[in-house]
Amino acid sequence: MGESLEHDASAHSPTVTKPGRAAILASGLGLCHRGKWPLRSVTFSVDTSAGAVGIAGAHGSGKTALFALLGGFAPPARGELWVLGKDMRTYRGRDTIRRRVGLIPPPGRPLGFTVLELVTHAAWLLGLPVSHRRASVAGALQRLQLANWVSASINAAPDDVALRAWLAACTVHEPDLILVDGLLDGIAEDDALAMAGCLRSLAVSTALLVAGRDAARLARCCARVFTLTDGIADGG
Amino acid sequence: MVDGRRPRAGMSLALLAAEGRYAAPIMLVPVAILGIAGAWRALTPGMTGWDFTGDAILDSVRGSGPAAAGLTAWLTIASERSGLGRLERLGRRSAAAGPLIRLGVAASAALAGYTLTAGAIAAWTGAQGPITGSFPPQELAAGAAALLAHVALGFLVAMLWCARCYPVRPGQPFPAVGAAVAAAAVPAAAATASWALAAWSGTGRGSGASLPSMLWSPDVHHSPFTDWRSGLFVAALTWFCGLAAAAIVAAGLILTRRHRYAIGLAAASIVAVVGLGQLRADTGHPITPVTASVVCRSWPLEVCVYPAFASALPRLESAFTAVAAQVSGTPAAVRSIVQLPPGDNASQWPGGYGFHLDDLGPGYELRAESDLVRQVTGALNRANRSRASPDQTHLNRTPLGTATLRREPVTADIGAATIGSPPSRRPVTHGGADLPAILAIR
Repeated sequence: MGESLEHDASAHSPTVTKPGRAAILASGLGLCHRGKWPLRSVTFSVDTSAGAVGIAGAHGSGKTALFALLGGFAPPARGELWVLGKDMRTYRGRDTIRRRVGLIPPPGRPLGFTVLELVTHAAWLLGLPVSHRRASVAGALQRLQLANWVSASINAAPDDVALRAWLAACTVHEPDLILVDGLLDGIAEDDALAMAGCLRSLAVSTALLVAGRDAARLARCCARVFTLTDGIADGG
Repeated sequence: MVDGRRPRAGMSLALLAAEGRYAAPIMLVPVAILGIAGAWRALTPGMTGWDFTGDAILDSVRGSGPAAAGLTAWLTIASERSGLGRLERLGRRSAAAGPLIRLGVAASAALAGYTLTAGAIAAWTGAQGPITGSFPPQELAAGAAALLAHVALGFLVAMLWCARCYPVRPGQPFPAVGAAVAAAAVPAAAATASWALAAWSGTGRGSGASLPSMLWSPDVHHSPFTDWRSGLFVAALTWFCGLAAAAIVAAGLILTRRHRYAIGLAAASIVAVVGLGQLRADTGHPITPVTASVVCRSWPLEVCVYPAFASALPRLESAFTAVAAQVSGTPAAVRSIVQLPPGDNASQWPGGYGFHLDDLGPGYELRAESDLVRQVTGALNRANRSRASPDQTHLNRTPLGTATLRREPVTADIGAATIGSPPSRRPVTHGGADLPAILAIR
């Protein structure tokens, strides 16, 4: 596995060769959103088949913007980006990756939902065929050990159950790459430990990138932790 | 697991179940309560015709509409804050699919509240006895469309607010304080705009229907002597449907940024403008004279009223008969009495009188009787002047005659001024049937 993370200060992006199917490669990557550059210039390459990768950064450092690019939800404004062998500068590449990626946003507690309803609704949102939907939902609940909580209200459930339900909802389609954004931030230490265990078990079978503010928490579930500062990747 | 084809259209039953359990009661209960309160307030006192019921149901939206708009905005923002919006935007379905289903649930709950309001008012009307007219479906539909427009505009305002937190960074912290302020501001602004429009247009109870009041919160009221102009509520229905559709499509445009929504927005705007044009033309002359014939009771006195006042005939007959009995045999004798529209002073014929009565509020028979007494007194005066005979002193006793006809206490001062008797401090009370006796005092 080769990995590097370096600050690219130059305005132009270098040309990169097409990486392997299990790799993420970015070169001079930047993202402009409403006149601002949450991601300014990032160059790195990682092999996602060798364990979870953590990306640590303070609030506003560009973690979410980076995940939006990696998940195919926005095109790069500059530079090049390859994810799982797909060129993210093209619509087709982004569309393909959107289906194969599970982006887990900061956790929420949707009002009025039970655990089963949340995961089932996520399966519907993700476009799972009706014939597979029931099995996928059951599998996600089983993976996250939620079988005994299916009828529990998300609002009334314990914190760790709500977090696992959120994780199950976002990974019900069994993605090839899971991007976890801020799941470990702002939760109790016990819950963070439990979630780190869940993420470690997920990383056994799926490529996993975890972003968060606390590098120490990320280190519990990630083989490597990189640092992102002010939209610039400058360490690893 | 996820193939490359676009997901087939369909409903998320899980979302429907969750929203039906959580959001529907939050919307339904306040809309029903405020709607019934608003409709009750708008009911014309004593009027039990279906057309008045239709006015009251339409006016109920003035109370329930702003509440529905505010609740829709609050529910939408709450869903966004709970993380559901982020989840929905990450899916393969349109980013508008989830929010529109939630809007559908909210709109259905609001319409259920409106239906409860209409049912309650209709049941109350039906319990009042025989009812004139027929139930106005156009007015009912216009009220439902107005409520839907409120819901859609609340949804649009919430979407505009939430758009600040939208993509590309789906994890951006949500401005909780600002959201709370917005959720509180929507119903406040809607209510303020509603009342301001009504005040600006000079409308209020008994005002008819003006264009400003029909644009946002309907404030309609017609008298028993008029009918609504045909087409008025069809125009209102068109306007509100166009407005609601435009708001929903605009919200979809914000959510998806897809050009197809811009086309839909243009089409909905055209419908709204057409409705606005029709409404502008129809609100110039919103009412027409009523075409229904009067309802009469012929014994012991002929009394005719407009159909909406039919239930008042027995008490009016009784009140008028008491007056008629006192002037029987005089030049002012009463033979028939007909209800007249406001401002109409039809020429009287021998023995025929008219009276004005706008509603059946408390004391309506006394007001009608007072109107008749005033006319009978006038007739007595005219007869007196035409005869100009000093012997017929009873024709000069206007104060005494009026007081007696009204069955009010007659003081000695009035009696002295009228018939020249010595002043007395002791008040003398006369019943209405004592007029011949008083007239006999010389």
